Amino acid sequence: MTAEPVSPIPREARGFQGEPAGLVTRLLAGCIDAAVTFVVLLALWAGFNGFRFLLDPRGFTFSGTSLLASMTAGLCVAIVYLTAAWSTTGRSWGDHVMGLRVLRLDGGRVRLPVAFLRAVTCTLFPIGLLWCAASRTREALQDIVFRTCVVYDWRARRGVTRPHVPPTA
Amino acid sequence: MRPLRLAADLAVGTVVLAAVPVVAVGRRVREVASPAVALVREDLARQVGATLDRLVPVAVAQVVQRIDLNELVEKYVDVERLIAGVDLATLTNEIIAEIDLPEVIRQSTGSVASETIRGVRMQAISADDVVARLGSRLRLRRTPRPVAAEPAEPTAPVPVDPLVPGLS
Repeated sequence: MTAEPVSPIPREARGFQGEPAGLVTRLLAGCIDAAVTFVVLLALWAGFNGFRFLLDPRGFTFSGTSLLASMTAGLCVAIVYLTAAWSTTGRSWGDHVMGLRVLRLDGGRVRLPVAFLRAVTCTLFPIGLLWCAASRTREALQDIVFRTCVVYDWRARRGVTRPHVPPTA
Repeated sequence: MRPLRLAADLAVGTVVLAAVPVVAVGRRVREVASPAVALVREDLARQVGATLDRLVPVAVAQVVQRIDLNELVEKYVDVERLIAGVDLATLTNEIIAEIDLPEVIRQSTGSVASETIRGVRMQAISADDVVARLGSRLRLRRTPRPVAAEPAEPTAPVPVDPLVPGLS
């Protein structure tokens, strides 16, 4: 007789664990990630200006920001942040808050190259996420291309359960 | 010797002849009396049962009052062996699952923020389901319906129902 592990997940949410996540949850997670990226960008800009102030306190003025430079820096930050998050724990901060995890279709951790390419496509082409509203298997375009899935997973650590992704028609 | 043997044969024959009616009568008596015997036996069992029902609890109570059960258990029962036969891990897990200990801990120690996040997650899951239903409804509308074979005779016109997909 084997002991069943006690689940720390609330009863009402247990049935959803491992199921592919839908559009609304993923959009909210994406918004949180965008906010995180913005805060990191702001911190980098403040740090850069602080460093300049230390170098030349008398002649210091805040560095001007151009839209192109800000967007480029933001995209770079987002790509690095998402790549690091998906290739290590499988979840960014937004995924963590919304109880999501990015996995391979076999349930394994997403590898670094795939995580990088997925982060690039998600950052440059976020509208691909909308495809999961129309997809029967709730897959965004990035998931279809890179054979990944995003599942509900409220546990703190990645388990060994496989995602319950229905087979594609 | 011959008269003696004759006498013995006669005696055996007499006994056998006498035994036949006795056995037959006994069998008949048993057939007639068996229902009555069964009734008596049932009645007796009922009376004994009722008496025992009254007596046994009183007797056991008197016995238990006069002995130390804890001492008896300590002396004669191997408690560690009994416990070793129980799968404590499974039992504990079953008890925790039954009383939903994680939920109790969450309710007693959970912060407002974690409760809010839990609510937002559940609301988002519900919204996901709504969006998925809408998507599947759109997919059904866009899927071409199989072409039916031409009817041999003209049929009645199909009623237009705007609520049913495909009939509008």
